[in-house]
Amino acid sequence: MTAVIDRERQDAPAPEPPSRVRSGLARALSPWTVVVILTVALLAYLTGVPLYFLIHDTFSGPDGFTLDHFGRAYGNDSGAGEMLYNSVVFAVGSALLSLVVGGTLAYLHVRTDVRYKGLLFIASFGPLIIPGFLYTAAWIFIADPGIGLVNTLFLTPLFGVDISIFSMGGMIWVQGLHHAPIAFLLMFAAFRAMDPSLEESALMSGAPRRVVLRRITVPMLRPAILGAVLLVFIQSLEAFEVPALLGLQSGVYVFTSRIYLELRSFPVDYGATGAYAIALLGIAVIGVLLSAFLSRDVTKYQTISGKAFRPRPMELGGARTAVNTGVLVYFVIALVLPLVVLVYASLLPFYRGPSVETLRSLSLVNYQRVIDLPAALTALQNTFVLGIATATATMLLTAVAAWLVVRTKAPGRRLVDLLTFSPLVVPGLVFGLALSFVYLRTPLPIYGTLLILLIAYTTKFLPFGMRYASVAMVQASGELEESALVSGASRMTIFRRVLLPLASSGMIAGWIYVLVISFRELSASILLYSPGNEVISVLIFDQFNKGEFTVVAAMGVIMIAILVVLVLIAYRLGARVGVRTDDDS
Amino acid sequence: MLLTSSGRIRTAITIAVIAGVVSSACGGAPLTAGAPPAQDGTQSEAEKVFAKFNAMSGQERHNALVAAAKAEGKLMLYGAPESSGELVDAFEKLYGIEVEVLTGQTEERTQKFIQEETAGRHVADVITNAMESIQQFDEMGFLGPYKSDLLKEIPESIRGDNWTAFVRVAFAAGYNTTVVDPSEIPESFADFADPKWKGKISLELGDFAWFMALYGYYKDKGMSDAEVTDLFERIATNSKVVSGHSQQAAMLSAGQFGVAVSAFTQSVDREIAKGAPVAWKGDGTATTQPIVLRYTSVGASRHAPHPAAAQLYLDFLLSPDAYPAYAAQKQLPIIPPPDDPLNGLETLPIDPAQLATEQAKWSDLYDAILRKGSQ
Repeated sequence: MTAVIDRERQDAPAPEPPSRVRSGLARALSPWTVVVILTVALLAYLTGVPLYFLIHDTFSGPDGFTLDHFGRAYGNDSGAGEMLYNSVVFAVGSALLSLVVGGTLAYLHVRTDVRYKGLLFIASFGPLIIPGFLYTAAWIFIADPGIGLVNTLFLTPLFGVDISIFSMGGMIWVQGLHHAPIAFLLMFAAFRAMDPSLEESALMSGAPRRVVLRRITVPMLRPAILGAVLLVFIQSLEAFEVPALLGLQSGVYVFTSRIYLELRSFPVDYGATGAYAIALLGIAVIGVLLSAFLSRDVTKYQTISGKAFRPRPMELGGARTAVNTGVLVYFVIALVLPLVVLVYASLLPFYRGPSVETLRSLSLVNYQRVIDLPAALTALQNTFVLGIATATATMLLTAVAAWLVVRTKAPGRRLVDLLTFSPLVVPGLVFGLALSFVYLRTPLPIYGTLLILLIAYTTKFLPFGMRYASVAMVQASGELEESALVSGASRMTIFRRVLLPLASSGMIAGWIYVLVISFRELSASILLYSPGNEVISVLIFDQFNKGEFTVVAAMGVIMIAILVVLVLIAYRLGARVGVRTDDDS
Repeated sequence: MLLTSSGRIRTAITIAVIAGVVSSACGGAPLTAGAPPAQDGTQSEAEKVFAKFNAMSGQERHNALVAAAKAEGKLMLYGAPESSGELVDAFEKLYGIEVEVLTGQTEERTQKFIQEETAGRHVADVITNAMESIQQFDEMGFLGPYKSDLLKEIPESIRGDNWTAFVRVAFAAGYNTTVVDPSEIPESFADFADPKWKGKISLELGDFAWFMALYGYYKDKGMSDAEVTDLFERIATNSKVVSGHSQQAAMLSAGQFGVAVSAFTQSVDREIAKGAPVAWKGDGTATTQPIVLRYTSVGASRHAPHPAAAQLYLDFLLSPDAYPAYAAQKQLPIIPPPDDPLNGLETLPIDPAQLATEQAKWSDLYDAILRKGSQ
């Protein structure tokens, strides 16, 4: 630990670059400074537009400033107290489940000699790829007390009991498993960038594994853990699918059921909707600040230093068989079961439980219908282009922003951190309205083209990119960058050639994450797309609205297949850069 | 170390944040306070075309309209997915005019249309939506006049100078015949309050308009407010609550519950067409009555880029030419055909004026009843 942490304090005077004979202006506007300024201005602009509209709608009435909207949203018989309680229990439970599941899987994958690593990786990020409402619907068909397959085929005939997904526990289960990939990808990157020699030394000094985990592993990973908890927590607070499909039937009403109701009224009460969103914003602000406070001593987490290390997988020994089995069981439960249900549904004219009759009616008709959709090919192309462009733009922007937040003490850097987090809490409809309002009045050809979707997606996914990028950069020690600076490299070069490669594990994890969720984005797309610029999620939504559930399942299966290929390619490419483990060689 | 640059960066960040925030705030005007009326006294190009065809009638109008629409060659429709598919195909086939469709849910379509019209970017020719939303467009001055012989058959309460209802949306109790014996289906909604339905029936989260209509219906039958509220609370206690009629229909087919109390007949009929064991009426089986009705409406944009095609599409929606497409989509055209599925059933139209003025009240009450029922 000493080599990494007990270095001289960061605030010691740093060496200046050798060549100082540049003019004042040129120095003030070094390429890197220009890049940082432009990035921050762009970020402030991108996040400022939706935020401005949200705040404006929430706090203004016919006579200027007002708090009336809050009265309507929280007053009377709105049951806000109970909803808040339910929302928080749901979000905390989901965040913890995601963290434990994702963290364990990441640890096993990076640090141990567990078998089936390829399978483990697919099992770990797989649920992410399945659109939320399909994943949830699949769980209804698995664990509904009346028609759930686990009950009808297994538990009821064998044991005379049944399980029900319709409870707070069931909601946390589905939401937690569905979001475990966020934690997995963050922790996966963090473990890869962490020198295991610290833990090895502790083990050799006789510390039990439990103690090592508690005293060394977890503290070292604090930024990644906080990042994962924060993302899943806020996402669960504003999640709609699981509360709508599982919560309503079990009488668990959360904040988002209320927002949904407001959006169904006519005309929509944007003031009250905003009042709910502002509450989420408040929670998010506290979360980001708390997370920054808890990991304030950045040097503690710097695990990538000038010292070479080559992580060696820990031998599980006698526990290996049990752990291997555990991985297989998880793979089956979290991914195979829901996928089998979706594939099964996609082959049917309408969903019903398996029987001789249904098995006879299996066909590929739904897939044929998807292929025959007039906009299918365009939508696929658009989604593909948008996904790759969004992931790249998001990670580039957040890489620079993360550098600013993690590596400098510039005032306002917390504000940048907060601004990049804010898109997570702006309701999709408000978000889309803000963008269309601005770009309808912009002479540039943005409205009605794919560009407006690119802008929307990039803005919406900044919070994710930012977490991935900053966790990755916290782990890279500044000393390598200092060496480069001393050797005369420009800051631009250092960023490109030193920091980005060192942080690449996390950056690639973030890129994969953004790519996958951009395939699913609906709430902003539905308002901003125009004919010819359809994306897959809009087509899926149309089919869903027409009541074509099994066609939707077919589209989901196709989308999952495409994304699995894309992610595996990115994973392969990612394995070639950054910190190498013995596995990769 | 790397912090040395923070002096420069510091200033830069401050400037950049301010610049970014200021520029994003410059968008200025409130989003949702409603757009200023577009009535500027002048007649748009589209309105001249509308006026020309509105002055004609009969076959003469039709022939001239078809010729002009064909010359325009295109139509941009902002319409719900369930009211575009086969209708659009049939229109394209009949007249050889290419139709582009923008879908999405009611609110998204509403906002997109309002935003575009307010900004002076006129893209849509025709927009279909819930009646109250179309009326709002009309009040904002976004719709062009529409006159046609076909309108005579439509009650004046559900049409205006610039718009008309064109589809009836019917709420009926849909049931899954493998879960519920058709002979058990009650004739009255009140029977769903019986504890024997516990866990077997389903209500939809946002159906407060349906609730409002039935509430008035039972009041008219002599029940007190307390009695009606109690009745619906007991129904809610028996219910599983779902959100969205499409999802409700899919879960009904799957047998997740036996009865969808406020299903759309079109959703149930589409499931029947796929072979699902569901129904909302049948030979010798009771249909739970009354059937609550609401209307989907349509209007042409005052600045439609393809005004003749827009008028022709409106004519088409009201004409018997569209009946086969309505039948294929399981929709109920506004002028009932001879074999209308609602023939002989008691219907109860939702009062649009009441909905417009009392919406918040009914939405809150329905929400409270559902939540009370879930405890």
